[in-house]
This record gives sequence, C-alpha cells and structure tokens, in this order.
Amino acid sequence: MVHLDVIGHDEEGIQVAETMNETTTLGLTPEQVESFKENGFIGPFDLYPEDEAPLIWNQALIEMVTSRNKPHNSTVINYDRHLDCDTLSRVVTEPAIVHKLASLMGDDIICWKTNVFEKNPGGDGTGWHQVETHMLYESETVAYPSIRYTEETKAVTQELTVWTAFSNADKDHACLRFIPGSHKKWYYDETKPIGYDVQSKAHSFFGYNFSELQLDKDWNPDDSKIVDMEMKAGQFVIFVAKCVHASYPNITRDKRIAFAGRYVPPSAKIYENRDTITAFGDTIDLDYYGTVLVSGEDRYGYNRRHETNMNGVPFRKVDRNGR
Amino acid sequence: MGADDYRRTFAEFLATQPMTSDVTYEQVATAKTRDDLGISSLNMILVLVNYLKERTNDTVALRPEWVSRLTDMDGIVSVLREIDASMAAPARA
Repeated sequence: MVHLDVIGHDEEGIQVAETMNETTTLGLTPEQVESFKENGFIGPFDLYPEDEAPLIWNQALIEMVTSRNKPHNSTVINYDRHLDCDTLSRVVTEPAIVHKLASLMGDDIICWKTNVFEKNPGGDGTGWHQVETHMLYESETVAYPSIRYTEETKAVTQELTVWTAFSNADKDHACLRFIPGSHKKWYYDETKPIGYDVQSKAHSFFGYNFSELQLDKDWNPDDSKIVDMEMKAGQFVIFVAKCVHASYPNITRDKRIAFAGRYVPPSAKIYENRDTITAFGDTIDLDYYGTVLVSGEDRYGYNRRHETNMNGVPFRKVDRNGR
Repeated sequence: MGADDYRRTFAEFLATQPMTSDVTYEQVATAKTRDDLGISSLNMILVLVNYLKERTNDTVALRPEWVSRLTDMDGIVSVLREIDASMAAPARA
C-alpha cells in the first residue's frame, strides 16, 4: 500500500509530508519477487528519461577523462570508475535501484564492483556464460574468485548485477539475452582456469572462451525459451549472474553503452588475500579498492569501505524507511 | 570563420598535442570522421578539454551535449564554432 510519509520540516518548523515512502514505491512487488525467483532476472525498469541518459553518460565520460583521482591506470580493466566519477557514484546508489535490490537481498548491501560495457558499431556478441564468484582468470592455469560468500542467506539471493543502458539496447544494438530459470542449475564450471586471447573469434566472452567451461558439451540453449531484454536508454535490468546470459552483436553504426553495478551483502569477502588482480592480460594494484555501502549496515567489517568517492564526495546511502 | 578555417585551427591544435602530433592538416581537411584521424573517443574528449583550456582559459566548460557530436568532422567543427560563440557571448549576471 502506498502511503505518505512525514519526512521533514518546512521553514516554519511545521512537519510536512513531502514524499511517498520510497521502500513501498521503489521496491519490488511480491509478484515481481516471485518472477525473479523463477527467472533469475527482472526488468527493465526506468531510471533516467530516455533523452537524458546519453547526456548523463557523456558527463561520466568527461569525468573519466579528466579525473585526477583514477583508481588505477589500466585502460583494459574498466572496473570501478564509480569510485572517481561523481556521476557514476550517483548511479550505483540510485534509490530506484537500491530499493529493488533490497527486495531481493535484504537491507544490507554493498556495491563491490562496476564495469563499463561498451560495444562498438559492428562489435561481436558476448557468448553465453554464468558466474557466481566472478572468477578472475589470471592465466591458463591460475584462476581465483572475486567473492567468497561466508554464510547462507534467507534472502532470495546474495548476488545481483544491475545493468543500465545509457544508449538504446535492442536486438540490433546488442541487447542482453537471458535463459529464464537457468540460475537454478550449473551449466558451466566457472572455477576452471581459461586462457585469454582477444584476437580469437571463439573467445566471445571478453577475450575468454567460456564454452570451454561448459559442463555438457552437447548443451545448447533452447531458442524458444531465450528472453531478449530490449531496453531503452535510461532503463536497467536486475539479474543474478548465475542466470545464463549473453548479448547480441551490435550490427548498427551506433555505440551501445551500458554500465553494470555488482552488489552483495557485507558478509561476502571481496578479493580476499589479494593485493592485485589480473584479467584481460593486464594487472591492477588493489590499493584503491573499497566497497560502497549503499543500504543498511555492515556488521562484518570484512572489506575496506569507501564512505566518500575519491573526489571526497560522500556516497548516498539509501534509508529503507524512505527518510 | 568558415568550416575550412575551423579545420585548419583544429589541425594546428592537434599538432600541439602529444597523442595527435602526427596528424597533418591534409588529413584533417579530408577526414570525414574522428576515426579517420586515428583518435579514440576518450582521446577526443581529452583533446577538447585541452583546447578549451588553451582557447578559453577554462572559462567555457565542456558540455555533455557536445560529446555525442565528436564522432564526425562536421560535428567537431560545429562544436568548435559553439565554443567560439560561447566566448563571444556576454557573461550572464
């Protein structure tokens, strides 16, 4: 039930009702939660107006280029620019996102990583894959998890990705594809090391050949069940990364732009015992690294945490009471 | 200034930038897109940031709506023209 919530005082000190209760209006409905449980994804949802989203992304690009506080200098590993770009700091903490995450994960949520996913005109599709611990493939013989989950949860899930389109992402523009219900079963063994070769067409998972990890080599997705997640600029979709997903190629002359935020509860340990990470043929130092508490509390203290971004701007934290 | 003048101005500026110093006026004069000049989208933003610093002493800020126009030469020229117009416009109260 939607209701008005008293949240402040006007200039004369009188309490005024200013907004709807955000938990109610921005969280998922019970039906949406059930749909997520069944399918492993839910969306798309509106975040920014379609005509504003590309400008918001352009502002983020300006901040990326002019940043004086870059978290790392890699141009290959495109992680964590929410830590030094004010615009992206706001994106990962948007109440319209965080309240929906809380409907699935509970109130205590950290953003542990972000990625930029740009697909240039003519860019290849991304191959089918499913992950849970977000393994980092250092070499053909070495791989290690990004996340270690330290406890069971009563929530629907412990891991969510929010993929926000900053350009239109329809079938021609490399939209995401999901296999509904595939998060209930392992189709791939993400823990096995695989080699990186960005030149190889077979390596359709950002330079890795994820099909090498397929448990049943004869398995192929059932085309009739695949859901194509067409999105307008400014929309986002939430999914559990264990739900098998892929993307179409970009067959247009436009760049497809997306930004993914990754979220877990504070009980998860991120980059445990690691000082560096290696991926895509490059290595970055983790001195900069920290998580962002976007909602609730961190009762564990397992991970370094950033209260402000690297420009000193405090991260917004969603109050689940809408205050 | 006409479009050709802006192309020459742009070429002269590119010659002063470390990542584009080998781009010639002839290339800029005939290019249709930024890609023809071998300039990445992020480097193009950096070029424009430096251009604004030199031409306007940072009195004109890079506008998000300009970024989408930096992929083809006509768009780049239109942005350079707007920068000049912004400099010429009287300061708002």
